[in-house]
Amino acid sequence: MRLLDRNRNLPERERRRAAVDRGTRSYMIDMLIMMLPLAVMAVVHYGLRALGIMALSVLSAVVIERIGYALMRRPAELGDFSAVFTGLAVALVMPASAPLWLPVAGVAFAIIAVKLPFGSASESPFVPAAAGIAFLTVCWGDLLFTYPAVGTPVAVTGSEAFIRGDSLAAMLRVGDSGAPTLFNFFNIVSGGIAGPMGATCTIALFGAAVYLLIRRPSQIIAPAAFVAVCSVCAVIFPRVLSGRKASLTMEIASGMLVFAALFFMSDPATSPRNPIGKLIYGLAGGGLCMLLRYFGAYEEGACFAVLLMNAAWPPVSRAIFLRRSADVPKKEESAPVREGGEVLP
Amino acid sequence: MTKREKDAPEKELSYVQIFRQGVFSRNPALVQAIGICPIAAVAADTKTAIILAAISGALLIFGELLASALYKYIPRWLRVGIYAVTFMAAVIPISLVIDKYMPNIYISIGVFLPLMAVNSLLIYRCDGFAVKNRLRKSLADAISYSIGYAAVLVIVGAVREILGKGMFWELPLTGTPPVPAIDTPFGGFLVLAFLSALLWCLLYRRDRARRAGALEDTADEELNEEAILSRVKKVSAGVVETAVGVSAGMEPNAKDGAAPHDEKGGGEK
Repeated sequence: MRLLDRNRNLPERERRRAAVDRGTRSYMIDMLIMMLPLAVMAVVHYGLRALGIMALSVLSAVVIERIGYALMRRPAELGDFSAVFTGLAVALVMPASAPLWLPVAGVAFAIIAVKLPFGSASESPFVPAAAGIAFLTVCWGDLLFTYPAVGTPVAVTGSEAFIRGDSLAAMLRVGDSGAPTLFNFFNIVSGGIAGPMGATCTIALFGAAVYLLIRRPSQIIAPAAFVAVCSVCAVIFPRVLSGRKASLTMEIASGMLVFAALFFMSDPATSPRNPIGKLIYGLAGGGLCMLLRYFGAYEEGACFAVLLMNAAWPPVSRAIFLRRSADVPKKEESAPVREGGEVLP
Repeated sequence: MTKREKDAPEKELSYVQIFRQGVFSRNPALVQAIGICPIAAVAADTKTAIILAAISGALLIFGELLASALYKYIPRWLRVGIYAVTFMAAVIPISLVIDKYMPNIYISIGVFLPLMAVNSLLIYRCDGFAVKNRLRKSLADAISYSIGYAAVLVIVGAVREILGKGMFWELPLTGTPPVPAIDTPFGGFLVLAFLSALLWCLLYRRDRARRAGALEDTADEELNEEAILSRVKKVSAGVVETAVGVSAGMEPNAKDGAAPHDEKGGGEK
């Protein structure tokens, strides 16, 4: 909507520079670099179909965003890679055997319903990719949580039958400890168990976390707190009977927990600016995630936890820090004030 | 209803203005975000939506007539309780009739039928308008708000049935694969949000045209850009938040009228 285009009085060149200056672009490039090893591991484990899903997802994200911007008569922010990020993030949590329209539907929802109405990803109060995944969970949860067994062939196109594998998340949900001799620690953390395409290889995820730590150290606080709370919960309240270490490994390596923490909780557009705020944000998010895993309707509640924290943080931060404005980054920091003097909540 | 409103000078509205306000510029569900609970939760197909529209229209007309005729003589503090009693007394025969003649719809509406008695739409209009105005104006107001609410209900119901179930009027459609989430309250909030955005867009354009002098003065209130933005952000964020909370706690494949109520005050019931 035209109303939300804050920079509409600026000339064209400055508008694009404002988008880039906002730092979104360089941040998104960092996120994409972090996702690169995950994408590679997805292809290693599941073959070319993984590549196809990722490519289709990214393509549809970019196309839908372009069409949306054209319909909104808004200058396209060239080079803002947020659509690519959204597409790739949604793709990486798909099972490799997902029908090809599934990530497209998720991406469509993420961009049409969560990103475009607010103008751009950095102005939306929710992380679009998390919303897209949540939408898919609610709509087609059975499709989303049916994973192929690793190493078995999956058709590159079309949805032929595949050999189904048990994911860790499903095992945890029913309390199935799994035979201890069936998998060892290395197998689990290198993505040998069925799971979301890009989220099974925990080693790669922690490598990406190290990259984030080096590159943008302040953004690691919230994900670290998230994973810490989940680990503590996994140790204190194990869902399986094979011991606390197994419970810890399984909980952290299952589903999209670390993935959501790393890519969605660290998003600077929706998370607090204050480091203590980030800590509280991550802790609360982790607690919510574990609650949803233990008592929620689906086997993976991480994206719901992210969305709930996105929504809940502004009023909570106002209460905790006793300030009049919320602790979320002001979107117009780098854009000059319009002569209307528009005041935004 | 606030002190400010009580002391404000009475603006006498014409019938045309009342009608326009109720349906468009002050549409209860899309602009003021009141009474959205039954829409989001239960209006999942066209038939149910029409029944709900009829019920709420009947209740609103009945309530506003009564309020305009009698309730201005009742002290303010007592009025709220009287409203509750009145609408409950009206809902009971309605609910018996629906149970007898349309038992499927009665079951699918579930708890939201008695909940219509305390729908904020009714209270807002009765206490905000009817007690301060005469009988005929109140009747016009009731009719226009009923039409506005009914239009939203039917549109949302139709969209949710076509997209969410792949049916229309309970006949299956071919060609459109259903998106299951739209059937749920989450989908209801979403459809409502987009419809609301559409209406705001049209109102804004009309307001801009009017300010540019293209239209004559229709005495609708001026749309303040600030107010629009803050209202849109608040309502949409609250609505999506509620929708997320509802979906996260819901069982998959649960399709009933007894969905959990709004947990936060993103919009009043």
